[in-house]
Amino acid sequence: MKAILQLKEINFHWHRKDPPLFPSLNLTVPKEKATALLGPNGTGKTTIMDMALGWRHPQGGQIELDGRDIQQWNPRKRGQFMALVPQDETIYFDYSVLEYILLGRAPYLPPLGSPGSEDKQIAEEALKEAGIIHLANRKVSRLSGGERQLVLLARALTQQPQLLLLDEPASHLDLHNREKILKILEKLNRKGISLFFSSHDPELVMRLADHAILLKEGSVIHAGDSRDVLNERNLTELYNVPVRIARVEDRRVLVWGD
Amino acid sequence: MSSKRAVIIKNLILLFLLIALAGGSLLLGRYPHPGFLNPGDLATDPIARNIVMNLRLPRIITAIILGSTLALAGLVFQTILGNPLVEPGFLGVSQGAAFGAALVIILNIKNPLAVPLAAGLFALIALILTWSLARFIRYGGWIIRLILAGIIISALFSSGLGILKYLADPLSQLQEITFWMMGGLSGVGWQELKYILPLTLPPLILIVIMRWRLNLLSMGDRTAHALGISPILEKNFFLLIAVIATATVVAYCGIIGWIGLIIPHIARRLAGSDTGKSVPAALLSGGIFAIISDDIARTVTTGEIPLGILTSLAGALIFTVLMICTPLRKHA
Repeated sequence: MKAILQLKEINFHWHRKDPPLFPSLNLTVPKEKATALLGPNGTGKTTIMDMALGWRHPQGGQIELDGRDIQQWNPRKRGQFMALVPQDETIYFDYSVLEYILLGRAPYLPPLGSPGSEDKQIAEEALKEAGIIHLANRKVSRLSGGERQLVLLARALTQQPQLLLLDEPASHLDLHNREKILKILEKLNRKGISLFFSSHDPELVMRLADHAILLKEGSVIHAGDSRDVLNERNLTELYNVPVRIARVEDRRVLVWGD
Repeated sequence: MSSKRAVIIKNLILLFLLIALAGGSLLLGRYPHPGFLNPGDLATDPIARNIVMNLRLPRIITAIILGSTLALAGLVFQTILGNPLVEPGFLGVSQGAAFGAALVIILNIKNPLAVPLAAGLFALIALILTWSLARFIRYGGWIIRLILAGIIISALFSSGLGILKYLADPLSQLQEITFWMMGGLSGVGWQELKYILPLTLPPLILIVIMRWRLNLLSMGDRTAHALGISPILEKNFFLLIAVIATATVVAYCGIIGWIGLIIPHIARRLAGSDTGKSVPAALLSGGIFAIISDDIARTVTTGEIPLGILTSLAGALIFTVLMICTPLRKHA
């Protein structure tokens, strides 16, 4: 199993005097797989995403992107290799969807450059991929929550990345939009794009992930093939509530609580 | 929706307007009588030629530089700070410049270069103090810290200015300080332009060339980082060149309010929020606004109305109309 991203013996704390959020964290994201980072709220999933992105620096340990220390990556090359789909984003100005998506071409442009017709074509392809080409000229401020999430995904695709980081990709979407984004992510993964997404929703992870990493109290408690890792015992241990897994047709569904 | 072609046409119209206004303003004045000068007189009347070439021309060029600089710096500040209600004086620059000018007036230094030099110097000192203080503030991200530090340093220079005004001779120095602060272009000629151009043109050209990248900086720092750029480095670069240009025009023209606040709003309404399109619109609209204001300032009365009063009056009225006609958020 070849790794696209590795966090090795990560020591991270917010303030020097505080106990560490991660005393010594190790995790591996395999290449060309869909990997889920699953854990209860407040366990530091977003912080891990930020460190994977090279945006937040741990006090100790090493982060390797495609076998190279993330700090040694040229920012533009890093932007061509890895893209982020944030949970949401504050947008202060009223861009059209196409203008907004084109920002994803930044890693390919020189400092004095601006997007040309080829970039526009790539952006339109990304909009088609995300199924929102009809929104190209709509203002971002007038989109629904589900449409916004798809726009954020399309912008990341405009970066033509090999690794896509997704921070809680479907956490505030309705069932229709959840299904839509899930299908798109499955398709991208089949095309060979590695996915690394955080979630607190085991059912989403069961649907999408090949590989699952279970995070609790600053450590990885279980990691491996998602079919093996996502069992009743591990999920009960993760959430501190009794969890049962039932089968409905060929799907596994979760039943929790006493 | 502002399509690319529509925006180009609008910008061409603005450019034509700017050139026409500049040409018309060359002929507009109170010599030999209030109104327009006959262009034919330029060949025969040496006084008319002298007035046009040595008084009006440098003044009109300065007005364009002033308006374009404040408008573009305002757009840079609003975009980077993610706040459509900020303007270029935000980092202590305006108050620092006013303090410097007042200090020279109080010290009775009569060299004509002393006021702009001191204003420019103290504008830069204010900027350096703001920057340094922001590094020590332990609250919020870098931009919030910069704004907080800017408020503190502005307040400090403002109180210093108050002390200088209190100490000033009320019959001469206090008037001079007040007039300087109200701003104007009456003291600007070719000599002054020689100092203004090298400090304003390079920043303006850089902002125009790199205009598309400003969009990236309006995103959060984390997003900008994920898009493969170094957000803090680039934000600092843009803020620094915008402030240097602003400090230069403030040093020579005094404090001219509102251009840096309203012109970016007008530019976004004309060309859209994409800075690739709104930067040229702001550059041209700023020049147009400043020329019209200065034309009114120098021709309506026999004396001269301070430019800052006119820009504030027009700015307040236009801003009211903009805000009443459309909610701020929509066109922010």
